[in-house]
Amino acid sequence: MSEDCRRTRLLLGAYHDHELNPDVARQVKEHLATCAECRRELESLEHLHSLVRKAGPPEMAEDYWDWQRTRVWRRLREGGRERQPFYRPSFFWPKLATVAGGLVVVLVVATVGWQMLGHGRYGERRALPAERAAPAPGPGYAAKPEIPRSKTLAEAPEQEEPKVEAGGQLREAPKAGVVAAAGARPGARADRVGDRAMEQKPMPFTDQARRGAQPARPEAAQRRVSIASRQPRAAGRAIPAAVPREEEPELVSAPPLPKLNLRDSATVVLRLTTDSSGRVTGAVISKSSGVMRLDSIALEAARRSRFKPVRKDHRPVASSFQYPYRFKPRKHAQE
Amino acid sequence: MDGPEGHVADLELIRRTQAGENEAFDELMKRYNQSIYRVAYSLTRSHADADDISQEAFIRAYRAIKHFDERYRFYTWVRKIAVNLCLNHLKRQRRFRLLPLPLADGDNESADIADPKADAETSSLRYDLDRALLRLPADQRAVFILRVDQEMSYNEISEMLKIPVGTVMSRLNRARERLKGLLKEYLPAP
Repeated sequence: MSEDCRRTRLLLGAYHDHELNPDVARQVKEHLATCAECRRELESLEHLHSLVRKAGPPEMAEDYWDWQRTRVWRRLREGGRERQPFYRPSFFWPKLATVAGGLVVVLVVATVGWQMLGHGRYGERRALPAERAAPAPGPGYAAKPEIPRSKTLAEAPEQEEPKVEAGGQLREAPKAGVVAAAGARPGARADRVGDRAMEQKPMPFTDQARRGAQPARPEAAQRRVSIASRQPRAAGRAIPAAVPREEEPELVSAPPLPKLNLRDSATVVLRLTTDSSGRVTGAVISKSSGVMRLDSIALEAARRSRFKPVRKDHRPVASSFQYPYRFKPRKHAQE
Repeated sequence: MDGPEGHVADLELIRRTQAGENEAFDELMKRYNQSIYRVAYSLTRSHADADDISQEAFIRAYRAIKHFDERYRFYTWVRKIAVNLCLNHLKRQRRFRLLPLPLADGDNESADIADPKADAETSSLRYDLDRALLRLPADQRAVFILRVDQEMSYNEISEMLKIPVGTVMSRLNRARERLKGLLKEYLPAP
């Protein structure tokens, strides 16, 4: 096929339809006069059109007009919402269901992933099993009390005892402060405690308490407490607090605890999550005391507590950490 | 109804319809229902779809009759509505993959409805033409039908389908080439 033929074939349809401009049409006509193959092509085109015309209009029922006008006027009288003119088996629904299912899965995965990162309550609970599965405090756990911090705390066990109920998770500084204050002003402490069998350990830090704690507190106390530094306090009755993996915020305020008559001490370890403002957004039991009532008290107290938010890159961030509550009987406190 | 007289008569009926006279619109429907049905059938190759589309076209025309532009013919206007409905329907068919597969012999809708007295050759041709057109992509079929059956110019097709004239030409060429292959038994041997 020559180049002229190829070009003519492209224009043949428009030539047949009289849609070419006169100059181009004349060129096609001149080529057709010399090319038998292209003429046959044009004839085949004309034949095709004649076939369509020969097929004629579609067959229609004799009463089609009456039937159609009836339907049209009935629909116009009914008015309202326009009816869809076509009803087909909805092959679209399986696709829609697939897409919707996919979206739900993506949404669930994204939500769980987000909360697993510590941004919500659900994430805390999800993290709990992992926390429980974490290696329990080993032999070295209780063997660390030699470090200066433990020594400091061990020096005042008696003062500490009366204030039985401990927010063991307290930062080192507050603990030391409370201990020191109790030692310096036992009377004041007793007045405040009264007949209460239990007393909340996480107390507001008074200036006096802070001052009293200063001598025994190393500078490092301003930093986050390590489990080793907290351990000495548990000497003799180990606090089953796991090693915190995240930075632990400082307690700012805690609600008063109810009066209890206990025979034995008990410890509840919670896993708390705080938001960037220090508010407790989640509290779950990491290690139960074995007494549901104590677990509930600890949970309730933790949820109503307030912490100083942890800062990361100079910005307050959400945090998740272990937080033990220690309950001691009153008689023990009087020793 | 062609010619200036028909146009004037249509305008009179349209104005009466706009004035609330439903009998006038009934007369308009009676004049053009077969033509509109033919357009719808040519594009969809289905009597059921052609029924629905022609009804819907007249209903939409009635509801929009107050906005009718008297520069145009009523038939042209309703035909445009019907063609758009057809194209939407064909797009939906394509989306749902409902474009009919090659039909088995005797399993043809038009063959079922065809008048038994009709010429056997014409029935056979109509049947094969339906099959061939159904195998064309919807865009090529629409251009081919509007040109061959409705004898619209390339510019009119371009305007109606909102595609360039060059696209009209190329789609027509592809449609013709494909149909020549599908209907070769009816065409003279090369």
